[in-house]
Amino acid sequence: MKTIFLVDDSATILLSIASILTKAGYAVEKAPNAEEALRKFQSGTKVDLLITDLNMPGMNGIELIREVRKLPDYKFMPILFLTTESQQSRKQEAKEAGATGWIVKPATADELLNTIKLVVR
Amino acid sequence: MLQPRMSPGFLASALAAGTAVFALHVWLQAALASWLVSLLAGLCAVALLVAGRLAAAGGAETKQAPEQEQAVTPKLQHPVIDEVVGELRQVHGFNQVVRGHLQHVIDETGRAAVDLIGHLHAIDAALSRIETQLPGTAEAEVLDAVRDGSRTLSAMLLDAQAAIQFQDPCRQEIEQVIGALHLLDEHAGMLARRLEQREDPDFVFTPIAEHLETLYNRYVMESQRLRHDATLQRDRPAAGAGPSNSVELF
Repeated sequence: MKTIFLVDDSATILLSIASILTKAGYAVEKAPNAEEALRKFQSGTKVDLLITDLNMPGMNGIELIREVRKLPDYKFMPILFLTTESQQSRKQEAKEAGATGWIVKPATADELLNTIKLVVR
Repeated sequence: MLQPRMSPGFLASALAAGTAVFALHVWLQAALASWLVSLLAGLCAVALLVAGRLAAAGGAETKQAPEQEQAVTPKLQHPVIDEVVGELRQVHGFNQVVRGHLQHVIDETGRAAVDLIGHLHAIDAALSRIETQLPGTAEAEVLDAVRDGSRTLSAMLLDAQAAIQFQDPCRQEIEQVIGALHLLDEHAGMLARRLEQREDPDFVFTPIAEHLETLYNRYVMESQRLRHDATLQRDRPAAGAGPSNSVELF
């Protein structure tokens, strides 16, 4: 079973997305902020895909993935942003930091699951 | 056997709750758009009020002979300025009440969304049980119909769970309004202090344009930037606005 790590400061997003992913057969790990997520990555948790919000209090999503990409185990792990932001400059920044893709909230279940299928092998 | 929570009444109430939340979403979007416009109009009104009162006071003063100035100015100027300062101070109380209400909306819609997800989850689990609890003697046609219906409902529930994400953009919109109200509060307080300390040449004044720029830099959605630009009637292209694709792979 593939494991997806969700990072979002919104409890609603964590619950609704986790519910969809669990129903689709994925194992789900969650963190309400980037700092907690980074600690889990540093402890070597097994993750096949990271889905993170962009704007969060404290460390933001781009800062998180820059740190995650420094860890040898997660150099090639796919990373998707799930965010309300759609500014091109932010997307470019995320791409340069090592993101695999960008999904604008709210995304339909189909959009979410089809994108995941494309990036998780 | 169906669980008690899967009764038609429960289903109806869960669906009604969902419909109500969606209606709230539509209302919030419309309300927030007009709220921001009103907020900016309010800022302009306060600025115009202050400018108007000061101009009136200044005009009255200039009509007095220089030798009369010292005696007349306190009578003419202070009541006007005190009145404006009083109005600016009132902004603070009003502002606090509105911010409290908005925070309450965020908390309540957040709780409602979490509850709704719980209900949808319970319905989905109950639907899964229906298939396994069908009597073995049931007609094949009945079994197929129940399975088809169950799968359709399950897919609809998945979409409903995804749709609840709308609460997050709504929360962020309201948080922006709370932030804007906070800036308005600061600005009104500063205007009041400026009027009280009008003789102080070292008074540091933050122009409203600077506050609006702060607000602009805090936006987390392109729609907020576009609405801000439209409200201020400025023709600044949204910085790097990209295609409206909701999914983009790099």
